[in-house]
Amino acid sequence: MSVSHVLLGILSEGAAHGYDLKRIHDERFPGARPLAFGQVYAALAKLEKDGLVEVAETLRDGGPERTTYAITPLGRDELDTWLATAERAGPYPADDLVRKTVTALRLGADAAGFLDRQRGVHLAAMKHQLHLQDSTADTAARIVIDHTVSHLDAELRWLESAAARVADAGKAPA
Amino acid sequence: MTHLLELRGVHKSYARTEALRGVSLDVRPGEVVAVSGPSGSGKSTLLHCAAGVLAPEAGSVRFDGTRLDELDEAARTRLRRREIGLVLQFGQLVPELTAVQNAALPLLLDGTDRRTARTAALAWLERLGVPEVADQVPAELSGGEAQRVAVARALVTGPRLVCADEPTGALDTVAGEVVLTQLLAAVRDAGTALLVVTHDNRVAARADREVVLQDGRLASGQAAVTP
Repeated sequence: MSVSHVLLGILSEGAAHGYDLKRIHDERFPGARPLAFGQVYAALAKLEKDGLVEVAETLRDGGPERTTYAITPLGRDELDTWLATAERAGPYPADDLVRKTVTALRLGADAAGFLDRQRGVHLAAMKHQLHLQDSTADTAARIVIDHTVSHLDAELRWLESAAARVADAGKAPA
Repeated sequence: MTHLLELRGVHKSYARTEALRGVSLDVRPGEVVAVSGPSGSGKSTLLHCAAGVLAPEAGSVRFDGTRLDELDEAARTRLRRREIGLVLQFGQLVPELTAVQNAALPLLLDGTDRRTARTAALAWLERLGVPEVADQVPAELSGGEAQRVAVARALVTGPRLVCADEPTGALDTVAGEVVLTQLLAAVRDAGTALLVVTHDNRVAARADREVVLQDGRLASGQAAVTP
């Protein structure tokens, strides 16, 4: 459950409340879907129940109650284990690119045209990411961008091979 | 804007294989154009026709209005040496010469005196971030360093066009990124056009425009790569 572990990672740098955790998460992973506050507080409640975080301070200064959380020694152990464990590869379910191409092929629609247009969209997205890459010297930020660029690269390679297969099928129908 | 390079209906065959089947392509001054496509689609042949290294059997190749395909070999070589830089996948440096001698070679072949040629070559090695390898021979260089020396050699005459065939193809991702960044910065600063054959999507994404070859024909392209 990686969101909880990322929150543990942020808390290991110092105690923080839910709003800070969301803000730091969203800043560090600009390509990821922003965390919902509900998601953050639900994760914190579960982490607290499991003894991985604890309440460090609760402030009531006229406004809504603000609770600051800190990582526990057990939480630190859990974080270390997570950091040292390799993630499984995949699965890679058929996404919209695959579904649309297969549907177009089944219907005899213009799959090649779609693949060509999609390549343009992916290349433009990669150009944007490379521009971001050029504009930062921060290693962590560059690693995040590398991850996005590598995914775009993989999909561009898939688009290229799919286009070649569609072209071959057009020459010699199976 | 007028075109620096104009290919019209270019055909080129090797024995019975038609490598190019009527390719037309324009490159504007200072423009970066990526040529993509599967292996065997004719990318390198297109690049070599554009650079005046190969003469097409049919069609025309104009460089700044001059028909490259109608020049004799000597005139084409002269024009190429001054106006068109070439970068190949494996650098193709002369193994007996040092990096700075390799980079200075086009100027020396064109009659520039040794001292001026060395100064210009050193300036390019500096610009490309490898001044420290100037007196080393190619066997002592890493792949990325050798490729940057090859880029210096391509740019040393101040050409208006650089033709690059898989310039990052033999390098790992990080070294390729360095070479690519330096090559693009250098051509953009100098206002030099770049026609670059590539399998690397990162190269295509950094281009102004991508054309895709398939079976010796342009499958798509001319569209700008814009975010």
